[in-house]
Amino acid sequence: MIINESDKQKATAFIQRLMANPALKSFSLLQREEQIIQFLTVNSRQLYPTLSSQAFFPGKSWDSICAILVSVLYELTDNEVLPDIRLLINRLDFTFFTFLRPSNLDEGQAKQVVMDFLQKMLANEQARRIFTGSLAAVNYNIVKKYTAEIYRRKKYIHFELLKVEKLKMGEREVENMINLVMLLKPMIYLFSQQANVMKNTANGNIFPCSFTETLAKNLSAKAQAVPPQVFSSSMNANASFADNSKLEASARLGNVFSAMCRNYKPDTKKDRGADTAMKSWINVARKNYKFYGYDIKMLDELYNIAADNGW
Amino acid sequence: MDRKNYQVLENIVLAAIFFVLVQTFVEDLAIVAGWSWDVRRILILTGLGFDLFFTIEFLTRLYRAIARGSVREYIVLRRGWIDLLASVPLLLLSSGPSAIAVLMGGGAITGAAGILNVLKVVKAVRIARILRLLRVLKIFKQIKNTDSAMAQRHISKITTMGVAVFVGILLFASIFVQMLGLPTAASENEKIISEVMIAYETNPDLAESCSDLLIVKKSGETVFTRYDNDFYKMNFGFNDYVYAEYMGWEFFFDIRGVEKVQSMDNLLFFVIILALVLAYTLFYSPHFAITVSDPIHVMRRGLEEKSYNFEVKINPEYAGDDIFKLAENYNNIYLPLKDRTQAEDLPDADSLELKFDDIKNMF
Repeated sequence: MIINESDKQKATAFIQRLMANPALKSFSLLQREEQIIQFLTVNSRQLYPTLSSQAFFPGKSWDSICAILVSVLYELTDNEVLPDIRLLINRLDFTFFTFLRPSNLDEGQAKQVVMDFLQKMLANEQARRIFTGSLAAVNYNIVKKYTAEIYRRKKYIHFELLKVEKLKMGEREVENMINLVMLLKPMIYLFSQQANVMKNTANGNIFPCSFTETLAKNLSAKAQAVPPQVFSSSMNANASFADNSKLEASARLGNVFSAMCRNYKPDTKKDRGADTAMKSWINVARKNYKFYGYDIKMLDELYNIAADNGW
Repeated sequence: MDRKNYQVLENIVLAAIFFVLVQTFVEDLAIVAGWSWDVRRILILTGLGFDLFFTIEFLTRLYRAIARGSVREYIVLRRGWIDLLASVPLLLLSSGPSAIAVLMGGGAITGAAGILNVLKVVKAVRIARILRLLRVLKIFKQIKNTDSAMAQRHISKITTMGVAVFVGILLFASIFVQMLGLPTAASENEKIISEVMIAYETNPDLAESCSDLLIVKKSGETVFTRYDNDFYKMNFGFNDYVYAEYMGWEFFFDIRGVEKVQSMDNLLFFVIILALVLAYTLFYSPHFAITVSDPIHVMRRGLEEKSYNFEVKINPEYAGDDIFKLAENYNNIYLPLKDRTQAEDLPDADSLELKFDDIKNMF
């Protein structure tokens, strides 16, 4: 979208002031972006008279104004979030690739492929929204916390990861794999249309397995630096366990963790008398597992982990 | 008056309540410990200062309530009756007469007995001192140990009932004991004094053996004194002795022992009331919060705020309580339903943290 310099300056000033609003202080960059977009949508009637005045964007329709503001918002967010993502990808250890595929690992190339995918993905609005949860889960080391407990307990999830999915790798490698699965999960929105969607939910759309599996194969063919299992899990993290009980455990976990962190705020102060944010979220997910396509046994174990650790 | 100044005044009142409790305790402690009259005299005058302060506070609050047409609300609901009982009667019946006695030289045992009428009044209404214990409620009234108005009301109601019933029983018991002429430490002491006075005429040597007899005078001349005048001046206040006449003899008896017993009782009552209030505040208040107001608060927020999705924490110990059965339904039925509804609905203003009011100053 081409925006003239004057409009861009005004839009930047307006968006920067919105982003600096104390009400959004506790949100991550992408969560903040989502709040602002929703704010613009919900308050369009009140905002339009002011934003279409001489001081802002005179003579423009609300759709045009909104498009300018959202475009600037994306740019401002990307300026901050992309370096963070690059840093995060560089920090991720891709040695688990060697456990999935017996070949020499070119980690630099693999990381570049992933980064390119993520950059493309961030141009898609729906993907950005789902990526909010994935990024938060990786940033806040949620997977690390839970995998440590999963490995210590050696119960259902451990069995599913090691015996069923046959991830013959250590705790640290599994953690990195799930993190990467979550980061790549929203890529599905680059290739999907509403017609492909089985169900729309706030935590992301649910796609049929036939679609996710085909897409995974296509991606694997395009980017051979990344093992096909990673793409398969990433895409299947958008499918429902009710639809396919053979979904990879890493896909099921990636789906749960990225949804859990969609609105996660680590500094949220819980009221006295309330349960923790994670325990509350998991318990609600347990009740709605069919709706979201989660694996109930996995949620039960995650709930027990959260309860036992006071998370 | 703006809110800031009002808050400053409320804080001054709160500090005054704290200090008057300390003063009340120290005043009785001074009697039990046998502190010098100079110190006790200061404490009596300080008590007058506090009673004056609280009387002014009560009258100001009452005036405001009258001006706003909310006298009933102030007296009944905002517990103005405590303000009343812990101020005006104390000023008129306790600290006021005591201070007058002190200022008129009532402390001087060797002085003229012209102020004896005042002293009699002071002694007769000592029962009113019990009302000072109600001040513990005043400090409790000011402390808001929980955010929930319901919790505050319940805790303050049960505390007020506990303390008021205790003070009321003490007050009425004292009145009944006096009305029925039942034996007390003071009445027993009076009996002994009468016996000593009757026996003294036939046996003056009795003065030495009766340790409570301080001075005997005949026609204005001192015929017996146990201590010198400096000692009396230093250790005896108007409440510490009784003056009596019999067959032309004037007697001064030491009643500090009886005073000590009464002060010991006062200290005990004071400690009991403090313990009651602390027990309600430290133990019952958190229990009430955990089992009643906190789960309600969490459920109310969950119902009111779209983005509030915390579950109520259910303590297995209280899981059978109606409130936690309700909370279980809230956790297992309402929250999942709310989540599913939100998953399918478009966001609205209520579900956002950023409100339109937050940005009004931007334009």
